[in-house]
Amino acid sequence: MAPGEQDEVIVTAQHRLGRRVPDLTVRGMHEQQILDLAPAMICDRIHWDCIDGCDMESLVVHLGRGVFTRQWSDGQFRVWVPAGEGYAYRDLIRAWALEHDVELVNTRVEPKVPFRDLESVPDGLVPELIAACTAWLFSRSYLVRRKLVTELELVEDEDVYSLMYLFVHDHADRFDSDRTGRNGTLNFTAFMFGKLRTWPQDAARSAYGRTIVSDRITLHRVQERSLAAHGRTASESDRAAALGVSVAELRRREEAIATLAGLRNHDELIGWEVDPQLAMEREGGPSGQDSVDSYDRAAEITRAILDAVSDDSPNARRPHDPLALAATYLTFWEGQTRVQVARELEILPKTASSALTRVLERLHAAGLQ
Amino acid sequence: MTDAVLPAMDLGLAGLHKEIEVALRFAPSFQAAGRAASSLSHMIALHPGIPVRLAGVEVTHSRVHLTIAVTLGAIDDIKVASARSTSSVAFMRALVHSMAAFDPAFVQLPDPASREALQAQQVMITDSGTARRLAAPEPILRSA
Repeated sequence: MAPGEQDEVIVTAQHRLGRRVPDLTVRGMHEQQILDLAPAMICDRIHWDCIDGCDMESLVVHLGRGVFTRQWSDGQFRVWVPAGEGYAYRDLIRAWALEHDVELVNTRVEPKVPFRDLESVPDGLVPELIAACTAWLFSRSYLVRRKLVTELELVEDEDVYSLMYLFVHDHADRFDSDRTGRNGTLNFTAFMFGKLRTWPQDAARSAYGRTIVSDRITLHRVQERSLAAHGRTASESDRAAALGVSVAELRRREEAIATLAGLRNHDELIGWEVDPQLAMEREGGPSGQDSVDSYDRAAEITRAILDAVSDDSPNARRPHDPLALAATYLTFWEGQTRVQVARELEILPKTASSALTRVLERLHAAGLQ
Repeated sequence: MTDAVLPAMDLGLAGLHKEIEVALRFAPSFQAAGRAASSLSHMIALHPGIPVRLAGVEVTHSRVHLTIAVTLGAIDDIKVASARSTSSVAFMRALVHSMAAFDPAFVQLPDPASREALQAQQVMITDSGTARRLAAPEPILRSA
């Protein structure tokens, strides 16, 4: 690292001032020299799971030159093949598997991904580079570490360093040093720093399923937006609309999220009920949809009636019509007949009728059925 | 004069002016109940000339029902659309629009003997008192 390089101020992707991430040096070799031993390529990546394991060495020999493999920490099997030939190689792999009685599961092709054959770098330089990178990142990623421990039930603080090493190890082969940004060429550690930002969410998604984690992130956003805009927590209708689901489905998903939170935090911060039976007994029964709809509908009718008995035009003879409101209210909410309304308001029945008719006509004109 | 006799009498002859009340119910969720009560108190305080009373408080499985009764005015005021009556309508309209988040809706006036109405009687109608009591619905339920 050149003297003073660490203090160089740059403008980050988020338009903030930051310090340049230093280049790494291992055994006196600059990281670029090490990575040049395994130049970046563009390949198609094929990955799959196996029921009883897979002899990758034999497979790579079978597939021939230009095919690489590397073990990732997630236990899946991967090969990298020349770009554009991924699907042809997938068929070859399937044929080989059939021949060798290997059962492949969920074989997928990712076209045109960057790849370095780090296995070809000699003398254990790559593990040392990864270790140096992890050591630098670990002390500077407090929030990421906290989030990871919070998100994943079985991860404890003392596991995070090892997990971060594996994370860097898995991502090392896709480092493309030729990519340049506003601050010049991206170095190895800066690339990993960028990848690290979404690590906790990605890990939680793969641990608990994409839906539940995405739901939780969406619900948090809705709550924040609602608090900022209206000064209140988002209603069930708002939350259901944000997820694009019914209220019944929203409740099921919130139960799942709350249960997940309850697994780790007995004194959970989220106020949602954990007991599914209790939740199902909430108003509106298991679906809840009728209840929520009835609140919305009643509020809509009330708004429409108050608008109908008000005249906002500047030339209005009177801005509000209390008689029409009283007649409407007594008729529909107090259940009185036309004659009873007339007697209550001390008016003629036909006056009560015409007041009611005025409101109903305006409601009809406003499109309320 | 007892209450039992009062409804049978002609209020005009008794020197009283019959008034019409309209009930508006707000239905915030548990989490929003305190804020709803506080907003409601604030709105009522902004319009000291409008007669309003808390007519009902009820806690359901998922919501807190706050029912207020707004006086539209005496019959004569309503018939001629006096300033008092029109300002009551304007107040209700402003309430319904500004507190739309809490699903305001017309409801039947709660029976004075109902639990809902009895619970309302226990809540003091003051700016801070209403909000403070309604923010904690459980004690109200227990005391009923």
